[in-house]
Amino acid sequence: MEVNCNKEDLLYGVQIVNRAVSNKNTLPVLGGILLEAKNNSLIFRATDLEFAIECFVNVDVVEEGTVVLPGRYFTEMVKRLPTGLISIKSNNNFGAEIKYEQSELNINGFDPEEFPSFPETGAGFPGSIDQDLFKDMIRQVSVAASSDETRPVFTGILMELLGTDVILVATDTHRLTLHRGIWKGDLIEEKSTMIIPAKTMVEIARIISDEPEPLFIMPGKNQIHFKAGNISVISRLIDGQYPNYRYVIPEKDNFKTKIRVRTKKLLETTERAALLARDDTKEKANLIRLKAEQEQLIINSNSPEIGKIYEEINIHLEGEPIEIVFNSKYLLDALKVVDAEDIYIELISALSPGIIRNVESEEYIYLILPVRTV
Amino acid sequence: MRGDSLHRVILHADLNNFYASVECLHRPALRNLPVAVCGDPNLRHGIVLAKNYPAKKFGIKTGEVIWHARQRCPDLVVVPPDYSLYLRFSRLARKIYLDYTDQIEPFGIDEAWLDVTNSSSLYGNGEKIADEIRARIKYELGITASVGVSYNKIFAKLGSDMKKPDATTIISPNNFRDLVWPLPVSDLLYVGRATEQKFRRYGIKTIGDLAGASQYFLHFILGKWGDILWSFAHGQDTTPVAPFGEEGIIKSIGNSTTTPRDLENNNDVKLVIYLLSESVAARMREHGFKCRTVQIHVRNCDLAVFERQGKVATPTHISSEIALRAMELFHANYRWEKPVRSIGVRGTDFVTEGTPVQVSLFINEAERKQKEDLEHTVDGLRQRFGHFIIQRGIMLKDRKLTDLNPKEEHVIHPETRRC
Repeated sequence: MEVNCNKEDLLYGVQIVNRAVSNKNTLPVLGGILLEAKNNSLIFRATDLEFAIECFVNVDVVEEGTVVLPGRYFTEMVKRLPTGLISIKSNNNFGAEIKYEQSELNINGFDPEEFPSFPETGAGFPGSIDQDLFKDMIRQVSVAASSDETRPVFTGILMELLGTDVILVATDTHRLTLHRGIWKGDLIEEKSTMIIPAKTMVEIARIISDEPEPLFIMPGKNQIHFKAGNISVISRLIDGQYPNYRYVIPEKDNFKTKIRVRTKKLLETTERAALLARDDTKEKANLIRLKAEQEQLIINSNSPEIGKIYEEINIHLEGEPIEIVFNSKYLLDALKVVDAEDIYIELISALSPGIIRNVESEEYIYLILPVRTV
Repeated sequence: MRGDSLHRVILHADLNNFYASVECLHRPALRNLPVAVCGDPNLRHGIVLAKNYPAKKFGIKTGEVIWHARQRCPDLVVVPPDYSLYLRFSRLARKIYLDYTDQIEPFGIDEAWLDVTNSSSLYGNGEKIADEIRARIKYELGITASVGVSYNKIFAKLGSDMKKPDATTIISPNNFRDLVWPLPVSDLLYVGRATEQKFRRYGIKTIGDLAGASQYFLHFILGKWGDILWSFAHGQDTTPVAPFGEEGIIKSIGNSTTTPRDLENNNDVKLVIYLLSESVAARMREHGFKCRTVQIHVRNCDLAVFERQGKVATPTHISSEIALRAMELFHANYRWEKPVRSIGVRGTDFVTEGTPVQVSLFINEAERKQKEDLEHTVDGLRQRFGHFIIQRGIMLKDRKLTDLNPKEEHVIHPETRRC
């Protein structure tokens, strides 16, 4: 293999795929990035068998071929190369010779035959979703995914496609996030449901564009393929039954209290209160107490060893006054990702789930479960 | 003061033939007849729990089945146990002890250790206090006690066993080799059947043999218990007597029962598990605990035993949640090759009632709160009007199986401390 390319293209490719490089030692070749020169393009690929990222850039191919170079060293080296033309040529020992300016370096690699091939997936759904929208959806939903591997389905994000809806859901059983996005193109006639590891989704959000460019989705049997321009991501799907989330989201009529509040105001207050809600004993959540009455929201927290805090914020209250306790982390996560100037907090009782959402839309909801203290 | 271990004065008081003595006191006509307090044979609890001295002369032993005892002593008078009465006497005895020290550690219902090191300036030496306590128990309660006096708990307990009834035995650093060392090693606290057998294999029969063995060797065969038992044999036990009122931290609450008939199927088991779970849950509420783990204990009709345990989704003291988890454990582990003779349910891994709990999406906490309120109401009703004032419907399916109140009838008072 031999290619000539410029540093920026090389760095772009390496940085896109580098997150999929495995850092486990079980299969050394997975610690590498595969470079394949073909038809005037250079393809980059990495995988940790959970997911794989592939992307390509156009380069001058002198000789087609493939090398696998150690991901970490290669990435760090490329970052430090001088701007300008760079030539990469494979040698006989699975390594490569990299030339730039008047210099050259040699780096050892792995046998490309050992590198897993990029799995094939079937035809995609007819249509696409905007990348900027999908990026926001993932950002807003992934906060609620669990990291507890004993219940694998909750470490994933549920994706449902039907009609013009793309719904993402995540929960760790203490909160649940749901974002409804729009599918562009033909209607999806048969409902399609899959659970994608949240970790992969976060990587997808990182590498896709901030512009409304199309993201194509191709489901496979055990895998799913996302394609955004010159980038492809293939992820393993999580096997299992996702619980019926519709069943746990309260009906609109059930809410007895509706609080309208400035997001920024509540976020700042909650951040202060959270500082005084630390509890070293693992069992206990970082508790903050919210009390809504008349046009006031009173926020309290108390950490016996550090101190306590009392704050009042002006709110608009509809319905009954309420007192409820939350884990401050769960409340903070909601306020950080909700992206709204004003939010509604809709509540039923001190022991029932509440909903936090933008005043202006209902596409995104953050369902939060309280802490029972009596 | 837990100062010099050789200068402590520790008493161990043992109320002689406790159940039987209390019964004879209340039925003077029985006093000179052989009497045994026994469980109800109709409920298959028919073993000897305690016996008086005339019965002892016939060689009747605690733990023996009634018909077996009757073979040796056809005129044996059998009386049922009355735990509330025994508990009252146990409290009265403790009241006497409290006049001499506040360091009283009960060991079961009829035994207690007393640390009187700091009381001797007021009441005289250990022997004098022991004699006074014995005299008062005899005069004020009408039963007898034997008391061991020593400088550690282990020897004090051995002392109270040496001379019975109504006697004081003193074991000092000077005489313990003569008094304690000839005793069989199984007399030593914590030497059970298994340890005794192990010892026998190495020719250790008496406490003296144990003391003579090398500590290194004992450690090799028993681990850290080897070191502990070796030091016990040398009188080097420094464990303090717990102050009165400082009950051991409760680590688990359980109830078990041998059922009036063998349990043949899952429905039978369900009845008993619900019955026991109600009692376990009620007792946890009484102490302000919720458990995170449920254990079951099952004995089949061949007396083979197994125990299993599992976590509950969220800490609980709700009967039905405990019962359901216990049933799950039973279903998952019992293959019904044999009928079941006895079942136990236990809650463990406690958190205190008020511990904040993060509510979970798939558990309806509001509904759980209602259940808790309901159970508290049932507790109140039962306290005022008796256990049987309110029952689960399921209990009517088989009155014979469910006609018991495990909370009051099957709790050993006071709960013995776990070491």
